[in-house]
Amino acid sequence: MPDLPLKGIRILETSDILALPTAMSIMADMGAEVIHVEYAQRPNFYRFLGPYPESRPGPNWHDRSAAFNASNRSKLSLTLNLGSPKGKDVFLKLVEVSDVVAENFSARVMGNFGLDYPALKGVKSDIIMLSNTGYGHSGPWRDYVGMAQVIEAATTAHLTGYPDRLPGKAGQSIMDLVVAWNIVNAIMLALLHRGRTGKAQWIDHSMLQACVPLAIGPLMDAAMNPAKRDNQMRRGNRDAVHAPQGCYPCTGDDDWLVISVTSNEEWRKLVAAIGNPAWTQDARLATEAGRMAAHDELDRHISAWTSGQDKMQAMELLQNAGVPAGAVLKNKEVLANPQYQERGFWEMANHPPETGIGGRLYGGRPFRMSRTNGRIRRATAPLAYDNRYILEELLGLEEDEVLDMEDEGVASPYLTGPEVGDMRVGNMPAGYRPAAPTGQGLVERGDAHSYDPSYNETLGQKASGSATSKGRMPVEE
Amino acid sequence: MADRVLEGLKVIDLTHSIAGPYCTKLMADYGAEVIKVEPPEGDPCRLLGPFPGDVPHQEKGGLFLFLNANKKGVTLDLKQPKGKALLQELVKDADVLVESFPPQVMPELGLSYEALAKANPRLVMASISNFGQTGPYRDWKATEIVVEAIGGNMYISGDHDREPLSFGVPLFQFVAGQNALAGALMALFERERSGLGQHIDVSIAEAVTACIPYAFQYYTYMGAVWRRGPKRRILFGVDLWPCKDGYVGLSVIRSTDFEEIGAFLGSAEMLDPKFSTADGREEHYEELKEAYLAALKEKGKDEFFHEAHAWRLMASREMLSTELLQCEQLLDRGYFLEMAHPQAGMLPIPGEVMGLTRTPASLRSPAPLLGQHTEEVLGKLAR
Repeated sequence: MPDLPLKGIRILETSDILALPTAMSIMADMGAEVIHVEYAQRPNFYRFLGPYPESRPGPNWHDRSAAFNASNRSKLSLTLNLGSPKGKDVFLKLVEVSDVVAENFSARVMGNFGLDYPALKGVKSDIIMLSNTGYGHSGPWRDYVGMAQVIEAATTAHLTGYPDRLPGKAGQSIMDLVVAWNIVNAIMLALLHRGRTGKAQWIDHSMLQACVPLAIGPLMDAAMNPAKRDNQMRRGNRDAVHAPQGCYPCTGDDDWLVISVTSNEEWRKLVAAIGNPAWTQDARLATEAGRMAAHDELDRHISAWTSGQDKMQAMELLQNAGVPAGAVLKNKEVLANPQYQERGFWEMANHPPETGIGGRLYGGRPFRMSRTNGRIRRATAPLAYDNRYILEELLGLEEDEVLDMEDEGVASPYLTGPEVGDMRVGNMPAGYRPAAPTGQGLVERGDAHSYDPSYNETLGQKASGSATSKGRMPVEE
Repeated sequence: MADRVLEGLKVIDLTHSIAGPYCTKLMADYGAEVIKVEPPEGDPCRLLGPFPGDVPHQEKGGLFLFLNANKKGVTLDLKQPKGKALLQELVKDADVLVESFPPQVMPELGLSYEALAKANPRLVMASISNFGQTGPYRDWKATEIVVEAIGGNMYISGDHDREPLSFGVPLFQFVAGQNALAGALMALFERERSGLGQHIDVSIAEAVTACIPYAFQYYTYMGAVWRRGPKRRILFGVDLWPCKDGYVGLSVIRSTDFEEIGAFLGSAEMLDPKFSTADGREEHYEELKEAYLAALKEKGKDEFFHEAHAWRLMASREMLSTELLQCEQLLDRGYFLEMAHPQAGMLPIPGEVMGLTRTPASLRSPAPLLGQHTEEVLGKLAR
């Protein structure tokens, strides 16, 4: 079998939150060796978010947070205090043997560490460096902090939401994922360029600049028609031109069906599929403009029809008739969906036994490569899991030196079980335990629709503690 | 002149609408020669607008003009044997082909990856479709809202007491374009070693699902079916609230943030000790909301945004498109490039989306008129 496409590329990542970690996981899935550098006293914020296996944080909860584990697989984990001279020294040694450094500190931080691009270039002339910030390293907003929600507010929030309510958000931190894919592409371009010319570069990646194209329609409208304001409206689930389009209630509990008619032909197919009821025969409805004008009325009639339908059966009925329609799937329904199953989208990752996480499913990548497809090569590594490998085998440091670094907190060691309580991860007080609502608790709070206690069996997951690998978890070739 | 990363790369672009054109647009921005092949009637995106004065015109659609700058445009009827033969000729020495037809179309035309790779084994081909090239939903129809529903994003979007909500922009079409670009660039990188191309199969529905990893982990880790909501809109998190002239938001991230928010807004009510803990803020939600909204009414969104940052708070402000075009940060960084189009006039379009400092994006030509380069590109093949 041919090697994965990014085999032989080593990336040093020092990052927080979601965007950059996700980008680096994708590159690790595709064959890069990604060394995720964290400071043990202030590790990635997503280690604090949960949820936890079976709602139990456990003593090593910082290694058991699903939010972190979903976006850091296939990497190696190293702890390093970049603020100490020794930590900086080790980092620069790693730079010498790496191809890419990717970081998402605020603009001034890497410079304060003495690790900005000129410094890195000083030890490795063709190192590629990517810096991800909200707004970029220059300009009046260079020191402003930007996270996904802030960038969404600045680009698309005014266009998303119910027309009669406040501006909205859709999904969770989606701009982080838009940014993640943009980072992957920026680094790929820099790698291709280096391969061709031998020249490296610094990538001054701005989340805002990556996300502005998402709002290009209204943006171009604003440029072409500056006096116009109705291009800045929230339309809920409706389309600007085509009708009907909406989200309609079905028979199940909180079950919904989306119907999206994009032509007169599809309208006629919809009418036939639902049995030519009398209200569809109105001559006004034969055109897009007529249907748009009667949209409220159409929604009432369509809702009356869908209210007696099962969402899955109605979706198949309409799709088989050639009408774009989709059931609004809940998380467990996407996990069980035959389209995703047949394409092998969900991948099982087996965590080291001492974490007690077991084998869990995670989403793969939204593209397949016919010769060199990627895969989750390893479950997310616990904090500091690969310190010894990186420091001793990769850099050739003596064991005594590594022990000193552990004692001095420069490279805090991998700890499991009760020992972790003394680590004060994230400057939390000793004995700190994160909040861990149960499934039933989330239902009572209204954050979850329902709780299914047999989820591990349903998904074919090995429940916590039963994974049986021996020795250090490998990174698959 | 700056280097162009993809200079010398020949790309055949058979895509339409948004996802495929965004992928090939980024290739063109970084130097590739992209030949956009349109059917004789043109990419339907030409008629999606927006248009100057709202008058539809196939050469003046704003979305099309952005997505197709830097490309050459030829028209070709692939249903005619002559058109198909010309395409096969074009692909022979191409590096990349991107297409976004329904999955059965290319094989039916005799233009499957296998067939094209026989003549050109170095070809990297990317196919973008709603659900992917395989699976029981392969031939289903979809628009953005349909893939958002099936992909799992709608169920977790919107208000607790209302129907699930889709994004207000076709966001996942752009993400699928990014995904196709990632696959193609990785294939090109691998080709340097193996000398061989390959086929990339992008699913827009999977692009949706891959964007919300956290939502699925609630089920895989604890069996919870995560829902849209929460019951009460979050005061200091991701949500926006009305201020004097628009909408803004503040987030509590550090434990000290809430006190600073009260001080920054100058609200004595908000500094009441009963709000000092997260539990207290939850218990007295309605009272706190009233005090917060009253304080926000005193601030315009622009002053709010800059003052909040001076307090080192995490601040959001809504920006309308007209405001984005004037955004001092984007202007300072030279983000908008001026596209001079023979029919639509001068238009600002986003330029550097990647942040590449040595090999920045460049604007070399406006979006092509329908069939503008047919003679230039196909003429030499016909001879």
